[in-house]
Amino acid sequence: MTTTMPTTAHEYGGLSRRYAAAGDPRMAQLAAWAADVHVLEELLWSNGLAEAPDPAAELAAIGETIAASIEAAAAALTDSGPTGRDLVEVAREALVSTFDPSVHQLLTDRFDDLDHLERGPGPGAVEAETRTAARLGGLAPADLVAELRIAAADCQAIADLLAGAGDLEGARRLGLQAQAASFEAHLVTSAVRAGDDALVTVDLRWDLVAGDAPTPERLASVLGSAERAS
Amino acid sequence: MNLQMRRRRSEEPEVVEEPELMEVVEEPTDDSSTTVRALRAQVRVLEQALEVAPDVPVLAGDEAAYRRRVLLAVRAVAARADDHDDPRHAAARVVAAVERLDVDGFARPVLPGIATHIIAPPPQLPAGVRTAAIASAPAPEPAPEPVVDLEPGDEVVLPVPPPAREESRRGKRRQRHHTAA
Repeated sequence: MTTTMPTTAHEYGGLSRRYAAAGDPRMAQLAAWAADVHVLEELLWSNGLAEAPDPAAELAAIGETIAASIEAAAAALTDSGPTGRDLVEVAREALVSTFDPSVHQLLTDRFDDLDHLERGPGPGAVEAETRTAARLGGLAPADLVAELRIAAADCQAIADLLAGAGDLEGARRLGLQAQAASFEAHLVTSAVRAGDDALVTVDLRWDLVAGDAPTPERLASVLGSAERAS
Repeated sequence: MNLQMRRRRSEEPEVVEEPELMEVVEEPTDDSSTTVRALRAQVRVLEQALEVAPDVPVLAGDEAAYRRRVLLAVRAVAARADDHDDPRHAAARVVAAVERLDVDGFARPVLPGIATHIIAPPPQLPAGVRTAAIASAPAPEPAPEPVVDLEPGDEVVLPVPPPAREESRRGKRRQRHHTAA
């Protein structure tokens, strides 16, 4: 019996269901969309994107086209109050319609179920502004990145001294915090660069690895492939 | 007045004579009086010991190890300090470094002088909670960036759309040429 490792797309699908179960439909929608984007990315890689002269440029071009499709779809929405599930389905349709019809079934077969997006808000719902403010702690994103990088370097320096003194448990603890600070600094930088001022992608990616003692490979796996290459 | 006196007694256990206890204890016999006095003495010793005991008991070895960690943490931050650093920020980094010693796990480290907190991630769902649609979905592709065998001269065909036109961004509407699946 073989075991299939979950892909990042499936992990985001699981995260979406966790948000929904906790009563945070907004984050559930965003995680579901992140899953769809990773489905597309995985499909592209498995269909020869690596052989393109410049895969990162190809991905950027695809992203631009999908963004335009979604903008057009959003403009066509009525003011009748689409549900969270409606919004993800509209975005999904816009994504699919960007490609040649021969690809449509390949994509839709891989998309996750959206039934869980029917749930309404519950105790775990957090306002978007509250979530962003909690992460920033009153700092501008650039200042937060600077603090995180200083913290990462301080933690690593302490970890090195502790390891040199034979305190391996202390070194492990500080090493994990150094890793976490570096990871978050990267996430915030990527979010700002992509125009994600609300830092939603930071929360999604952070929550995907939270609770683990992740390896560097694990942390890299939750990023987009273009990001990993840069 | 009575309240003040009672409070002072509780703060100064060595002067407690426990008259209330005397009142409720029946007059002992000669044999039992020795036992009662011994029990009272033991109670006083225990009370005094509890008053001087720290909230969290620390073993001597742990305390030494913790002091060593604090010393190395402060030393590490001091070694990284620069002449141009803001003194307040440098001091806050030292405080943060010591606070981080108590943190275990993959978590954002304490940041100097910043009261940030990360909203807790949603809890894990029980194993096996998946929808029927997902369970019946095709097996996912294993990993990104697979190696594709191509013969020399083969054309790479990707499901890649043409690059977006510049004017299609920033709210300008684009006619959709394809229909949804």
